[in-house]
Amino acid sequence: MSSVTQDYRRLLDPKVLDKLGRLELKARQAVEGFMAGMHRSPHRGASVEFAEHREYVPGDDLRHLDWRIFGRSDRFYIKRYEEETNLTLCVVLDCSESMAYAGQGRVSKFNYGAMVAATMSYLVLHHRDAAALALTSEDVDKWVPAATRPGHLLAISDAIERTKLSRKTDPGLTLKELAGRLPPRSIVALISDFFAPPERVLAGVRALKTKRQDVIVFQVLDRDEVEFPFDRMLKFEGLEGTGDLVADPRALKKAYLEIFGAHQDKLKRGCLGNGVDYRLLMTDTTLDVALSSYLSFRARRRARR
Amino acid sequence: MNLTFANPALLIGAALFVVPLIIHLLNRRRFVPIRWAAQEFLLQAYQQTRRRLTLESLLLLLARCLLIILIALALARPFAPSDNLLKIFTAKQRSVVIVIDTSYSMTRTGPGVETALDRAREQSRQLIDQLSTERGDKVSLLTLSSRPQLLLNESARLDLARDAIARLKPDWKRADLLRTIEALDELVLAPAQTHREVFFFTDLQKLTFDPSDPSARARAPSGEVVEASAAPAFRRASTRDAEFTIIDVGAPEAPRNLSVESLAIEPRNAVAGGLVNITAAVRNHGGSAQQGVTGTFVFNGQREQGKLVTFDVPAKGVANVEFTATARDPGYSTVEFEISPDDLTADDRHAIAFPVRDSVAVLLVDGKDDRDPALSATGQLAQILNPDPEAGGTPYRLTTLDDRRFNLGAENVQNYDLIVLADVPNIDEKMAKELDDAVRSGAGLLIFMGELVDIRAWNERLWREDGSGLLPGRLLEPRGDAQGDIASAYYPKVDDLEHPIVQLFRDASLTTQLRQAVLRFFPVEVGPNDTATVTALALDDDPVKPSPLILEKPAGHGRVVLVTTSADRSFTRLPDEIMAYLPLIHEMAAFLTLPELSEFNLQVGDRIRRTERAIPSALAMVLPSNERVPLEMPDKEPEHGRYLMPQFDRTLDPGVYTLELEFPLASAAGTNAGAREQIRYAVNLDVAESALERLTPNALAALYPGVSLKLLERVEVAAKESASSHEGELWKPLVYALLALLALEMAMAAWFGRQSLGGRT
Repeated sequence: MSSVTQDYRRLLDPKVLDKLGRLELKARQAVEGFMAGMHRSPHRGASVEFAEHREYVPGDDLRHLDWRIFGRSDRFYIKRYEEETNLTLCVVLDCSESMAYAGQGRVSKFNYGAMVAATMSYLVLHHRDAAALALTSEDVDKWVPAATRPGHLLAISDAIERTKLSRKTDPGLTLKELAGRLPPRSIVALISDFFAPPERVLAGVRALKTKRQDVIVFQVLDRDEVEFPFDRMLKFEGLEGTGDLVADPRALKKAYLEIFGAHQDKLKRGCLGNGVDYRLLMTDTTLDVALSSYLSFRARRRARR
Repeated sequence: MNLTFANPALLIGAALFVVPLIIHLLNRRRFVPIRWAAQEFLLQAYQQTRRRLTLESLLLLLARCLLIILIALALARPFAPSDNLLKIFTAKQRSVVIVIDTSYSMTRTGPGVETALDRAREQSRQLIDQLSTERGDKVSLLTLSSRPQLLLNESARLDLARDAIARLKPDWKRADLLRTIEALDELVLAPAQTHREVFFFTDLQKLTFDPSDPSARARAPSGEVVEASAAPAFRRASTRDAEFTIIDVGAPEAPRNLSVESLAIEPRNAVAGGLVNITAAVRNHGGSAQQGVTGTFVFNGQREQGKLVTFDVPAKGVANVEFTATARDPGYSTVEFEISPDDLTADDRHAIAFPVRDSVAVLLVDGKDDRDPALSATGQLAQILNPDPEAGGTPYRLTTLDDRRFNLGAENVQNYDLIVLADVPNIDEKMAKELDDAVRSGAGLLIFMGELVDIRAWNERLWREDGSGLLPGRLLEPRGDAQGDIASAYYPKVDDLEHPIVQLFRDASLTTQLRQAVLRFFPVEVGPNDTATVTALALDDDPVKPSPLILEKPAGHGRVVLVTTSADRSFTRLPDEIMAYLPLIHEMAAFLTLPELSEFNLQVGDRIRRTERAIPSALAMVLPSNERVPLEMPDKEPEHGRYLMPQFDRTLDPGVYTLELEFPLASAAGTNAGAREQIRYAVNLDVAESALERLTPNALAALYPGVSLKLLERVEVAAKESASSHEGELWKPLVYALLALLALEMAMAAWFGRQSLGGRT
């Protein structure tokens, strides 16, 4: 691996990013690191892409004349480029209390989700697409409408940073509500731990799908929740007001992992069944998983069009 | 359930069983709070497993409480009384090895009529009574005897052991402690690595426990005790997991025992009608002289005609009691001598068996045809052996033959007890074979040289390089001049007169008579394979390697004597000196015709072996108990013209054994056709065992250094001693239970996914 790549991977480490202060800065840092991994200059008009040729009519900008065709055929053709202004990314970030969990030495699920949200927004705005943000718990707590101007990132990161995690999650209700607000054919990135009944999550996802939205599900989990590695007597204080439990974790581990595995399985299958992209993000993995997922998704979507 | 405790105070420790309870309760309070997001799943898991978790917790708690209680119980060292059911846990499985001395010194009666062997039986039965089949006790039974027998090995059948002990018979020989210990080690102790209690029931006879290597004894400084020859084997056996206890069943008082040690007859070649002098040696093993001891000589088992004698025996000494009888009938006779019974009756009698000949048949063969038979070699020999045939007086019945008729087989050599060949030039091949058979089956052969002797022919017929020929050595060309000057003659060497033939001449008056001139003789080369050849008398021809004058060689059951000079005065002046020549000829004839008494006088356990010239039609052995044992007819090929009778080795008891033979009328060999023959054998016990001297406990320890031997008088004491230390203790099973419970607790904790007492799982 080259030193440049190493450098970019270091920049994508959530622990490193978390120390950077403002979310906006983190997003910029992350994207630049990510792009450095992709190709050398992210500023080379990646948003302006060649689409088709048409015959020159007077008044056209001569800069777009295709001189190679003229050399071959003595005819003037203009290269047409596709502007990306018609793409809207709506990041739906779960700010329920369960997202506050952070394992030993790791960032909280919310912070990780926030970084993913900001980074993706930055990437979208950088491509001159529109970005929107919804912070949800039982309701849509905060709504930042879609915009394309570069300063919009500040509004998005501001909204995230001011959020307090307090309430429960109800993705079914909130997503139905969101479906109404979003412009059709947007990309909706759902970032949550999805600690809710999979049926309700999937009901919300279906509501978005009926509005012809493209949905990517990013499930953010802490490694503790997946592996349950505890070995001493613990008092589990339930977030979102689920009550406390004093127990020897080793005695419960098997049953917990079974139940948790079943939940994950149901969620994953439901997503795939509804034609929804599902990505599991662990809070100790680098951000490029999320970003590359998004980019590949966007590429596929363009191919469909 | 009346348990007693060695440390009852430690039972309070059992109250510590509350400790795991408290820890359990405390543990429920000692937790780390954690704010947990996936609580829904955890609560569901808890709901699913709550009942199982509670049960598991209770089980673990119970196991841990029990552990504490068991530790406290084990430390308190409880004892279970013998009638308690818990006994099955406490009782140690016993493996007892009973070694009973059956040597006949054990038949000595102590105070009363009980013998030491009776006491050993009783004591060993008591020991067996302490064992329990339910507990899985095992018993082994070995005899301490000349040939130790392992009657039972690790058997749980206590009834068999009792039966075997009741059936034990005394062994009429001295006990072999070394062999017994080796058998004990190899057969009983070595094969299994379990703890054994070995009990020896013995009279502690010094003879049994004190034999030591005589050379080691000779080397040791005086006064120093040399360890017994069985000590190394005993030490080896004591490295096994075994404890040795000697139960002394012997009578404590000083031994008072007379034993008939031996019987001897004179002359050994008794003839019918001749007188036989019998001498009995009676030994007093006690420390006080015995006056007026009575004894009876019994001839051929006829007790009613026994001859009663009275004699005194000095303390620790031997009395020789003599009796002269006439050997009436030819055949095989026995004389028994019995003294009045004492504490040890087994050694109060002894027997001797010997053949009584009708006469001694002598065949004289002369090679020289002398005009005057009186001057011939055989004529002179006949004069010497039987001066007056009419009057009798000597047992020799003579037949004279010339060498031609001899070689033609005019006389069957098998019918003669002694064959004398004087100056015989040559032996026929056929006759050589017949001579060989006759000698090997018991006849004597006396050979004189002479001027006619063809040494090449003799060597060819009667000498073998491998030593199997009749000649004691290879004849060489004669030396000396028969007509020469007496001054250049050779003389017999008289400084070494050890051989039985010449022992008589040790008498100074006879020694000088023997020194007669030998003018010519035949040197004999004794080859490396002629190992049996002995020079009875040598010449003074060479101070370093003197030539033999008289050579002797055993061959089969018979013997050959070769005189390297002539029988008449042609080569030597010996026949001129009748004072030397007469006894010499008689000694040689007696030596060659003496019956081998060892064939008829055996020790218990020895094998009776007999050859006959014909196959008997009926064959039986009559035992001392008068039991008649028919024997199988032999079917083997004859060897040297004689058939080997079935060998009899059931000579288990001392006494007179009679082999009864009946020959068919048409017997091939002729001589004993239709005859009935009774051959008597005297079987005696090993008289060495009569020495009843006992070993002291201190001497025992000194004789067996490095062996831990416990010496006790009664088996109850032994049982009590071994039982008192750890009988009934429950701590061992408790510790086993504790370990098992700890293992169970760890396994449960690992299975349930909890922390174990034994460590983190």
